Amino acid sequence: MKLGDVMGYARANLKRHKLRTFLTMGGVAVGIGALVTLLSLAIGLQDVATQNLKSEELVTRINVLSRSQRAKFMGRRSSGVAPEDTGPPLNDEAIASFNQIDGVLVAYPAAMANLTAEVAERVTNLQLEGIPTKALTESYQDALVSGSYWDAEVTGNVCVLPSGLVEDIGLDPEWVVGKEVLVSELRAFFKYKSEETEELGPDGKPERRLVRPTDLETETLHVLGVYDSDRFNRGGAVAHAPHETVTKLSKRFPFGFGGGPKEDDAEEGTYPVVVVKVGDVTKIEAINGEIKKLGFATITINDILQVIGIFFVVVKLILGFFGSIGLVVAIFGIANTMVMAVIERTREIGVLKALGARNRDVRRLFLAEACTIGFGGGLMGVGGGWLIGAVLNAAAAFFFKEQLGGESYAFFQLSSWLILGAIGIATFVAAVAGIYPAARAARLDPVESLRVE
Amino acid sequence: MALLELVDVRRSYRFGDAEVRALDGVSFEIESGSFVGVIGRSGSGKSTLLNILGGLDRPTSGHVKVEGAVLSTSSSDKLAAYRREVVGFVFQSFNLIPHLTSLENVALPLALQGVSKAERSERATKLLEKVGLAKRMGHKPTELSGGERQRVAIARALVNEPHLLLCDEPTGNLDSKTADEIMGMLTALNREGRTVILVTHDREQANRYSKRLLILADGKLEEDLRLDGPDAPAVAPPPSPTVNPGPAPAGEEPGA
Ligand SMILES: Nc1ncnc2c1ncn2[C@@H]1O[C@H](COP(=O)(O)OP(=O)(O)OP(=O)(O)O)[C@@H](O)[C@H]1O
Ligand SMILES: [Mg+2]
Repeated sequence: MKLGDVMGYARANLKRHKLRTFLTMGGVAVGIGALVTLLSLAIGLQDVATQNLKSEELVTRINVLSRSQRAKFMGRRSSGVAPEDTGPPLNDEAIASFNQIDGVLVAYPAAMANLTAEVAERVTNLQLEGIPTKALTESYQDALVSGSYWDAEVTGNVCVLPSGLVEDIGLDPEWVVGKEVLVSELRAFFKYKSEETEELGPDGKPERRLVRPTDLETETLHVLGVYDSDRFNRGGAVAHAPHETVTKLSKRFPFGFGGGPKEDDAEEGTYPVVVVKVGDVTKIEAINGEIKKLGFATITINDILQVIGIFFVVVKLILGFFGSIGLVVAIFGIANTMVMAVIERTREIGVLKALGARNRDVRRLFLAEACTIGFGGGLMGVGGGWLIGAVLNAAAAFFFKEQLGGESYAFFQLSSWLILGAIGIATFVAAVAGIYPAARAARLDPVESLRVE
Repeated sequence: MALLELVDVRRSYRFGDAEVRALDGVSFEIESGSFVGVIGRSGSGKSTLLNILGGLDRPTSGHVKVEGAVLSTSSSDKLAAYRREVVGFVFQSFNLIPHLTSLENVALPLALQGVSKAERSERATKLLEKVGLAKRMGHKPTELSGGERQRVAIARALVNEPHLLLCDEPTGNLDSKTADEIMGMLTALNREGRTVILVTHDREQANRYSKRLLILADGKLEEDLRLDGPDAPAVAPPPSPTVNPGPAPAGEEPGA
């Protein structure tokens, strides 16, 4: 019997028992729907967790640590670095050697300043990241909301603010360009006082004003532009400034509330972290390899993505396990339906055999029925899982917008692998459920079967 | 060579210690193109015999040979192929598949042979026209009369161009006029060269249509009558059930 005829016969039989078929498919659909919903949640969460890590800015960046620094950072045991194995010092000489590697845009010591900033009578915490002019790739320019970045000519005490911060303090990104930011040490935040003014606010109470302490040491930065902070680090508040400026500011206004020099056992003239900026993403692994060969430890975004990937494999396995419980129940449903069908159609099986059907033809007919149920249930389940995810995504979007005033994430995401896999699994599981009933049908004795009323 | 040859065929059913012998040592040959009637009381083993001849059942012991080849020990796939290619069954209770139309029922054996859909429906249509059911192609069995159902069943039995037609009381559920029509059809098919074996309760019907009559009693072949022409005297069967077996193949069991 040809496969097409087998499938047609199976479909016709299922159509005759629409309700029963639908209910059995429903059992499969519930199982597959649960599985799809849970796995699409895992996919969505992984995407949410990693989407900011895939920006061009991050994937073209290698963070180089001295081996001793890495050991401190990761813990000696897990880093696999022996205490005496310190590796070469991460100093200017090392940076020069990185700059010589083909494909490296620029290598520079990571520079961060954590400051208090006053802009347009508002005081806020401000993190400044130092970026060499050479490292300002197109992705920086693309992310600009207003103004511009510095260049070889326009440099010095300038900065580009993140849109998240600008909006948080209630300023307009266009307006703020060209304004001045007064930066001071981090703990200066608590030295600002707020006092009442003569003027009355809209609520009838006197307006309040921030008063800068008179003896505060400050430095002035010019705002050159505002960049879309979602592009680099969603919701982040890291402002960009020229590397030399940030280096200078971090020395003048050291981190921490203690005020004293930062505790650091690093040798004189070495850096904890050096950033190697690569021009072409495809070269990153090769360059990473060369830096490692020089004896340094590195961290790229791929290392982090890998760890996250492993974590999510575990998450998917766990969710998949719980999602599969419904499928196990569905197996029993299919097996039950198929056993019933075999019993009901015993005489028909006898006729088929009298007409020359081989045992394997009969087995195929019933397996085809089971698989069709599984396939149909799989389709319904994927549709249902998609629908649940879409509804929950919409609900999340509504909640984020109404309650938090921000953008939402797609927490539930289907991949084509998940869709095909789920339908495939449903069909396969149904075939497994159909094995026993189909074998039973195939084994029936034709004479006995024809005797059945 | 005989189309069919039975050598000491036995078929028994066991119920604990008790044993029912549905066939108890039956031996005979059937020539190609003959019209053989099988009669006997209810429970004498007629249907059992027909099922064994049609490869639906296997003897407990003894042999069935088809054109010299041993059928009774063939694999179930070989038996299925034999039923598909050589045999057409017509049952007393029609055994049509209730959810298929007349056309689909008739075409079903061809589907089992892997014949294409277009050819299937062409051949099935021709046969339904031949049995006078051109207007009933799309009807389900429940929408047909008994005689119409049996004609569909005959069309189905013929669609694979079988050489051997096995009919188990084909007119048992029909009135006498319809029965005559069906018998006329079987006679015509026999004239076309097909071998027909007809199980019936009706001694008169058997006498009228068959050229040879096998009479079963308690699973044994009681009589084997030749009815060649209206004037020919009934030929008595040989005294022993061991009919001249011809050149016996090596390894064959001796007759009981
Ligand atoms: N599956 C079975 N189990 C037990 N006994 C059986 C079975 N099939 C047939 N028999 C027995 O074998 C004997 C012959 O049965 P068979 O059906 O061949 O008779 P039959 O001559 O066709 O009778 P009828 O004219 O009533 O159809 C009967 O006694 C019957 O009870
Ligand atoms: Mg019978």
